[in-house]
Amino acid sequence: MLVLNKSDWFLLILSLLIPQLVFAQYSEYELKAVYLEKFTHFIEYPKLTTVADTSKPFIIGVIGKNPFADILDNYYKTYKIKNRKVEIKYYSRLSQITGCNLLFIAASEKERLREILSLIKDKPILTVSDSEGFSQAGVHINLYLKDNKLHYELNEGALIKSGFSVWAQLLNSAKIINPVKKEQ
Amino acid sequence: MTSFHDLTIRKKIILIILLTSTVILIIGFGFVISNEIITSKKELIYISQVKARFIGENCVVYLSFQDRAGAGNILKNVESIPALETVAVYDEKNILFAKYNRINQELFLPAVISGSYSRFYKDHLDIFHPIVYNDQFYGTIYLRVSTIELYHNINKFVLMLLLLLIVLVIILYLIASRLEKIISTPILNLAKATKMISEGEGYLLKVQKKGNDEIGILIDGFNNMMDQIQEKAQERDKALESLRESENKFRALFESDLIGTHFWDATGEITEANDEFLKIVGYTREDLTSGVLRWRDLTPPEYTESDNLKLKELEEKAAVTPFEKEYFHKDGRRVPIILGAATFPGSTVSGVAFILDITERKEAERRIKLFNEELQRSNKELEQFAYVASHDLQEPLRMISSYTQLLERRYGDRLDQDAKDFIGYAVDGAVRMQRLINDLLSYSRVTTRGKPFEEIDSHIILGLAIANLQQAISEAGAIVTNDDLPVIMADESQLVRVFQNIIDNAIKFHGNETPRIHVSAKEDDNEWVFSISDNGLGIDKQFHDRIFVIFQRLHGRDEYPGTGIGLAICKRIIQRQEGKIWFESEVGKGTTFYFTIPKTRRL
Repeated sequence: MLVLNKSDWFLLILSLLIPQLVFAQYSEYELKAVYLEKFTHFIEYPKLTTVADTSKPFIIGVIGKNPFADILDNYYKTYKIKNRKVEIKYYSRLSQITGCNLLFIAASEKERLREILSLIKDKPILTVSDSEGFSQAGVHINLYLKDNKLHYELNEGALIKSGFSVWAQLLNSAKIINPVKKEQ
Repeated sequence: MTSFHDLTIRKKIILIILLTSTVILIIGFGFVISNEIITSKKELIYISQVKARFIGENCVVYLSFQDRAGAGNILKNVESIPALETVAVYDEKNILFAKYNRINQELFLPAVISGSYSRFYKDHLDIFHPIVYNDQFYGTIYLRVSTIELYHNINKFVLMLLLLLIVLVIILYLIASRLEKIISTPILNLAKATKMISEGEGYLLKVQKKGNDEIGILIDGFNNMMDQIQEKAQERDKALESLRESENKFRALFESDLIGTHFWDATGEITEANDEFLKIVGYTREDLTSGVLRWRDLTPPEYTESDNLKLKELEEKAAVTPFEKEYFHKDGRRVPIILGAATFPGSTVSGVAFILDITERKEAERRIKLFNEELQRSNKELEQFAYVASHDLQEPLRMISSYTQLLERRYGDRLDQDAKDFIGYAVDGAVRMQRLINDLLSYSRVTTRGKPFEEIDSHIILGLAIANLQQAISEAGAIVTNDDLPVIMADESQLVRVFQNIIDNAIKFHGNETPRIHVSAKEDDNEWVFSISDNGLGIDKQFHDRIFVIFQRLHGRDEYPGTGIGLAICKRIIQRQEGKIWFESEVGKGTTFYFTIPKTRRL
């Protein structure tokens, strides 16, 4: 016989009544910082890259005008990605960007976007942005707000081209830009 | 209802095979069923857990990104899996994230149980499974799986097995009812044979053996037994035959009419008798069969007591030594008989009796007895006469002798020589007459004045005899020797006389040589044989008959003195001793006298 105690009932009712409450605890960029880490769960880096080496830190680079303030630094003090310590680097010059594993491209980089993408074209660097149209331009993941909820779109073609493997559910949960034709 | 024990062997074997097999089948099927239930449940749990993991993993992204709607869409896909009644996904903090109910009805969801958990409850299975991806815990998924199909399948399986069981039992019955014949047929054959034999079919019947198992041994034993019974029956027939033979022999004996024979039974009555017996008692066979002839009526009343004693003896010794008694003849006279009887072995109340008619013998006995009595009387009278005569003759003889002597003394000087010679002859004759009378007297006294016999040493007898003959022995210079002599039962003074007379004769009739006399005794079975031998004149064969006769003399009176009565007295004495006397002799070489004395005296 399954017995629910008082606290269970409380949590149950609570969870039914206020589904958005969890999000309300975070600011938009706090949530985005978390999302960066979560994406890495469902996206596999190409094999034979430095990502597998746990002795080296996982480098998150931010290019352009940093919208995260110190959120990234604070959050990744404790969290790891792919079992590696996370190092946050803020870039201003394009020549710096090739050393990172994940590159957040700020909205300010709209003009240099094409240049940035061509720089890292053949490198195993996952690119994330939160500006409309970036995904269509070739950024792997683009975050956007809709109905007061954070969504994301994936450029499947770009991801495949860069050698990433994406978990199907991530694709299912996302808005797909530049889908790859599936071989039936 | 008949009990198991009364069933035929055929039914018993089938029943035992069926029971055993069915029990084993039930146990086996039970095992299979319980195994199937356990396996099915495990399988359902495993499949459900796989489903849970699969659904859970499909929710990982939505959980990661807090996409409830996305997760809800995923759960809606569950609709295609009919067994799933309810699916609920909880996030890492155990807060409900998304859920699906097949039936449009709010179900109470159980509190989250962390870890992998499953349990069957009522008509469903509860599954909790952690949602883990890349070693990261995302939350927990709950599945409520309907078990209706599971139980339906199990029921189907059980039903199928039941049907199979019934089919198998039917097959078993068919096989058993064929195979039981292997065991039951020889047993039934045996039973049939036994029944046939008990109904008198004879013992030559044999049962065919089919194998060397226990039944084979039983059949061997049965056949063997039959052989033995057959053998025994033959032996019995043989015994019966010899019994019949012996019965015939006995019958011939029984009906031979040599001896009266009858059987008697527990009541003491005569059950069967032969003709001789009927002839003895004068009854007819009809008298016997009609019961007129009664054993008790045959016996005169004075024999009742002795008969009772004989019956007692019969009871104790199973036989009675033949004894004399009398029977009443039918016509009333008495028939003297000898009767012997014996009981049959193992019985004290029935037996056989043998009866011999001794009428003629009794008559003869009676005559002999009369004759004997007559003889004894005349003997006694004769002895009496001899004694009285010799005694009474003494007196007139003494008168003759006295007066003749008186005549000689008073008138002797007046008588001439011739007269004196005549007187002398007269006296001589009187003296001789007196001696004869004395001898006769002593001869008759052997029986009339005899003493009772007593134990006496023969040496003493011989000694006394020699002492009496002392003078004659020393005059003749005779030598008397003897061997060791026995102790005998005898009249001492008479035996002394026997020795004395024979030795005296030996001395008297000696030849030119010195008389040598030897006395010895030899032991025979029942008697002592004494012998007295001498080296005298010997006795001519022609006188053998006369030597023991009273007053017979072999020699002239002048040659040897004596009246000739000595050996006659000896013979009479030895006869009284119930012995014999005789002699062996050769003229010129000597004579040996023999006489016997019985060792023990008959009373």
